[in-house]
Amino acid sequence: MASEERTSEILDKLRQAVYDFEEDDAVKWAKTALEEGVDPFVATLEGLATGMIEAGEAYNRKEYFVPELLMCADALYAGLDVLKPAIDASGRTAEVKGSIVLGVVEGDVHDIGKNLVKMMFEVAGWTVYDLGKDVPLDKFVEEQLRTDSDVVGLSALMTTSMLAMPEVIKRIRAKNPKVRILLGGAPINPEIADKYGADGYAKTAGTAVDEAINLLKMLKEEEGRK
Amino acid sequence: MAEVEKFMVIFQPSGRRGYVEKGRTLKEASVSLGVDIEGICGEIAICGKCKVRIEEGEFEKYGIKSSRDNLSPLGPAEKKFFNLTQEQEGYRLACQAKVQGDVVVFVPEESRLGKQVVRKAATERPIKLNPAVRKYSVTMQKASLDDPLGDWERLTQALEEKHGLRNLTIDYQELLKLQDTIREGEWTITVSVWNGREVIKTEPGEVEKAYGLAVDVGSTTVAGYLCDLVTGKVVTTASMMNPQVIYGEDVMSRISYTMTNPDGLKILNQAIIDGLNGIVEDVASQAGILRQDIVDMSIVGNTCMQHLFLNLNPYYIGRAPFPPALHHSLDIKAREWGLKIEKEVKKEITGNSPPCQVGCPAGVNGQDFLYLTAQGKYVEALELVRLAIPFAGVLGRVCTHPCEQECERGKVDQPLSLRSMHRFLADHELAKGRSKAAPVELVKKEKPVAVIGSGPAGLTCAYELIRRGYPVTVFEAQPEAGGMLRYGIPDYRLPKKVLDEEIAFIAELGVDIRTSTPVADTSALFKQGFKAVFVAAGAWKSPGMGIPGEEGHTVLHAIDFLKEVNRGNRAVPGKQVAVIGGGNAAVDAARAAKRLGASEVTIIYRRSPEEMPAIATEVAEAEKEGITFKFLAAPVAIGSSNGRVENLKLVQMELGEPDESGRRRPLPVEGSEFDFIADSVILAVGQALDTAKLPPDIALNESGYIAADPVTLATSTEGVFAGGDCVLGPADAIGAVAHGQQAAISMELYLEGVDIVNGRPPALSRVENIPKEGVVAQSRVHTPVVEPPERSGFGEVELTLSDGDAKAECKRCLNCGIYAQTGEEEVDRMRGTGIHISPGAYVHVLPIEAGFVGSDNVGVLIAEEPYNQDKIELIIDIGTNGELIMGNRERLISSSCATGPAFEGAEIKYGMRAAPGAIEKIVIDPVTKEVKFKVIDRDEWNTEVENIGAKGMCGSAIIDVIPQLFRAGIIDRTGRFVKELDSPRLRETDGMAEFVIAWARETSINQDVIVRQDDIRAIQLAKGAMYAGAKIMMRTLGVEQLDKVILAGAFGSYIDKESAAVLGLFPDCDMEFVYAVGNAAGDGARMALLNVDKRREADEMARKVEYVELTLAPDFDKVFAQGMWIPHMKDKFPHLEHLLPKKE
Repeated sequence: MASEERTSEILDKLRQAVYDFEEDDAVKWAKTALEEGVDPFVATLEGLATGMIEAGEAYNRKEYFVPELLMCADALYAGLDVLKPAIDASGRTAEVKGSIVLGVVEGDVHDIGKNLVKMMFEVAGWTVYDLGKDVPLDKFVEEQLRTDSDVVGLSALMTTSMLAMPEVIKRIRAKNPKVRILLGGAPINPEIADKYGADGYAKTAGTAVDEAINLLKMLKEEEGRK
Repeated sequence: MAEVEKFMVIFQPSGRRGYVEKGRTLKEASVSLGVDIEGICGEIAICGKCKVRIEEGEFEKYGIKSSRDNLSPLGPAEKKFFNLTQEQEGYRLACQAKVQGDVVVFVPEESRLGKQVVRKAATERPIKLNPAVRKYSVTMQKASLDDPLGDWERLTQALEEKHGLRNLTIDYQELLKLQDTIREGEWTITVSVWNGREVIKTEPGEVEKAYGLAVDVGSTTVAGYLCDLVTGKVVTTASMMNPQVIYGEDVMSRISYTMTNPDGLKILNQAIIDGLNGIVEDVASQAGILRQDIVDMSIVGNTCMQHLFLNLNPYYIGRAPFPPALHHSLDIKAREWGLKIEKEVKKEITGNSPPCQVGCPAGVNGQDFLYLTAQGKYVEALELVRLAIPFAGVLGRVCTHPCEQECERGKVDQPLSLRSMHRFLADHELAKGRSKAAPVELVKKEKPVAVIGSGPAGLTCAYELIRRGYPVTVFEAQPEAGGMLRYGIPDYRLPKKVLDEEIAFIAELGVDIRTSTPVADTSALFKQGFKAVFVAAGAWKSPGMGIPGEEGHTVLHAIDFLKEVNRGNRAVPGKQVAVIGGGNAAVDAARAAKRLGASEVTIIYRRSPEEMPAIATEVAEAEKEGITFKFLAAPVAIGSSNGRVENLKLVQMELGEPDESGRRRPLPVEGSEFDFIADSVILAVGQALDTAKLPPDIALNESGYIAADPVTLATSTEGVFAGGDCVLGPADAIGAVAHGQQAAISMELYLEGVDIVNGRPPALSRVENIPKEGVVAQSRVHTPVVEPPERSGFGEVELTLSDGDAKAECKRCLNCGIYAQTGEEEVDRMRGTGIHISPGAYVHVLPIEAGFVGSDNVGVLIAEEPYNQDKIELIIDIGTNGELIMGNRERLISSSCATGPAFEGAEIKYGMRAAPGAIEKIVIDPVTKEVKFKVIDRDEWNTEVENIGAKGMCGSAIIDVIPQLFRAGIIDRTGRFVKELDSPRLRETDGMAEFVIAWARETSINQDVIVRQDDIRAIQLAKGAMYAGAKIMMRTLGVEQLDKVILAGAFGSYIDKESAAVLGLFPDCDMEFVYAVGNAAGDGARMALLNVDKRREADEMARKVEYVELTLAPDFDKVFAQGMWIPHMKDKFPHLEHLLPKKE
């Protein structure tokens, strides 16, 4: 069992490895964590995931850009690969913070942004149902009903495909007025999101999670008042 | 402190945009966003040069809804610069319209200050000449009874014999002209034959010259190359902004425009067809040929442009899997392009304003107010009249209506009753009761002005200036305002109530009219604080004739007589009254004398009836009332006894040569004196200044009137302007009103410190050659009058028109103005009616390779011919959409990547298109971090001149900026600014790092031109996409190293290839084999024009090139991400070592 000091050192190294997108370091320190008996849940959440969240913040500060974020993700997943067997073996499941159905709308195949958003949600402890790209409109409706997700996230890069968003939103709302809908993608802005009847808009992957959490809070408050 | 609300303002076609504080004018917005809009009056709505058009509708791309309602309402100062059509189209003056919401503003060509520099020059390339269209001349045996063969057979026979052409067909429309053409050329004819198959044009005689046009339709720029089909040379080049730019900057936003706007496709198609015709017109006029001399055309464009110019629905290419409507090349008859075929409209129509408006000295737009009146919109019609003049009721009665002389309807039957229509509107208002006018807000409180005299000139000037926000005080010596309108015109012509109402209207606006207040001198006014003065004191003195007996008691002067009458003194002047003169004053005096009880009134005029300056209808009415006329007679003496006139001695006159007024000069006939009995004489022979009552400090001219500049009305004294009768001598009311307007313009310019000559609005130009075919003659409506038996005293003679008559009259209007606006309406009707080259000619549309690899890329392909090479070549076509070709004779692949418009300057804060003022080259010193740059159209560096006037950065500078920042260590290879750096140029604004390229003092926009972190990110995305495309293609081909890189595109030849390499636009390559070739797409179009083999090659190669869908690569994200670093995250660049900073 590692000392408290040592544990915090290992967690810091894991965090740093992800933040500095050092894949090898992430693997090395993940192994060290296991060897020295650090709880793999703690190593994941307070080490790797914390590094990713910090990377997301750097992205929001404009210090990091897409390539750095993707490399941080690589380091994160490399570290996770090491820790995963131990987590599975423990039989424990992490607390799920929320669930989201994600996808790039029909007619659009640009999914880098969506993938980053997906990763940030995962890191934040959400369950993500990823529908991929060029997703037929009704698929969003079906998947939301099937999974009863809290949030649906729609992404589009092109102004042409963006135009399908109001229709998806309408169809989802018709089936489930409670679900919160989040939009993202280069051509979207808060005004468009508002006009299309979405609940929120996230400019970057990093803010998407915060935005989703806010939406859920609002939802709970509304319910509380009833 | 409350934050000021801000709105998005987007200027097109420049694409500059930004958030602008509520309440700013569009002109202010344009300055801060670096958009140059014309304007010389200093933004006070005088010169009218800053016209812009507000686009209506949803602009999804920007996420805004642009609306005219998002601006301050159209005010009267602006309104007069626009006719109704322009008003409906959303035209505004940029200097007046204030931002109150999001707007998209289109700046028309004529309002743009620096013109766009289009960098799509044709490059020198050897082209084999084998055009699709060739001209053949033949001389045939004339048809005779022995040889009555048909014309077409005779022609084909001759063509076969002389040129070996067989199996020809002929364009049907050309066949219709064939018989005449053959005979016109006396049996010698030249035919243009397309692809050895079809006669597409016939010309009489021998014609050697043949022209073709190659066009490259880019998302941003359209370029046309006029080529000589005989020599293969480029004759001339023309280019323009793609007129679709206002509907969306990149292809996707244009496609979404067609999706969100019901007529979207039609609008975009018409816009580009208009654009193509603009290019045709431009090259033809540059080359001095007719448009129809162009017998062949080739065209390329990206897939989206191709759909839009072919009027094909672009919806499906806007979404995965992006299939085009067709890949094949097409040959389409020029005349069939677009939607509908219409006859060519007469070209000789010119000018931009209806004749009535040009004819009116005060610029009342007759056509437009008649149009409104016809619809019963009397209030609006009157409002429109009042934009120009405050005197609809007065001038509707007493105007000499020069507008009617100009009216085109007069050439068919009779001119419109424009004068009576003014009156009709005013009477209508009077009858239903006029509501009080709201006082104008005096925004120019600190600049009060004074007007001396309250006649038509003075009051009009006051009316103009008060509406522009200047406090106006009018000083009137008489007890009541109105000048000659009140004291010179009798009631039966102009009832006082009408005049009173209109003066009251002016006063209600806020004009301070001080009656019985003569002004001694103007300098006193300046001392009282007035900043400018208008002298419109009139000409109130009768000069007399200088003949013996003139001083007699019963010799009256018309001006004094009428003044007395108008004041209510109704004493009869005598029984037998002789009135001397032929002007309105003479007729007024005569008719007034008659009404006062004179039994015999005679008007004695020294010329003939034709020369009488009085209004003809007034003369006719006078005759009806029993007034007699004695023409060609002039008094030489007045005989009197006991102070009473007894007779007049007249002399007979005859007319000689015309004098300076253009009228024939009257000359006395010697020895022809005779007596004429009269007991009183009224002299109406002109008016002079009453110099005793004039301010002493004003210079007079030779005629004894105030000397004023004929245009500006400026006098010898600074700040003092003069107009009306005191400058012109006795003139008509409308002339005085016009003077009042001009004086107001001068005074405002003067007060705002703008040049009073150059700041004036341009003169209106009259629309000419109005078509009148099919106009059925119909007389004007009769303006009702009270017939003499019913006339009583000074009751009004002329009456107002009935509603029905007024409306009927309006409908006679020919609406000349619709032919105006530089023929825009015509253009509208001509829209989508074909490409205006030789109508039978074909336009060859090159094939499409794949969804987003269009015929422009095929152009690049056939220009560069990578399929004839062994070396592995990468061809990059840089534009809003980047297209790549890679390979050699073995195998060729292509791909496309959405680079976005970053390289074109959009999405970069200080990005702009290539235009004067755009930074085009940047060099940063690695040690001092100082910046040197050059701007378009200047030879010096910024460091060599005081202020080089930069405005932003165009594409070539955008390519330069990252490598330069990187090599100077200002950004690291991830693209992030090195914050620790100590340079005043590197700073942070609103949490974002930025670097100053040009200080405000080096710009014409008075703000620092900066590169922000976000700008760098946008460029990284664009270049990363290019690099990723190349990498994935290399992998597909299985090659490790590129042998050759070709940079093509709009600014291809201006791009610095080392900058492009260091930026990491493409993988490592020996710099010796990197070429910037310019607009290869246009070159390809030219080759296809000049060589049919190239068309075949294009068809073949377009099918042969394999398209690679980049996003299908499983690791595309990673490849893309790695490509965003500078020059790349992992790749090595052995050939760039000397250019890259040493690794730390």
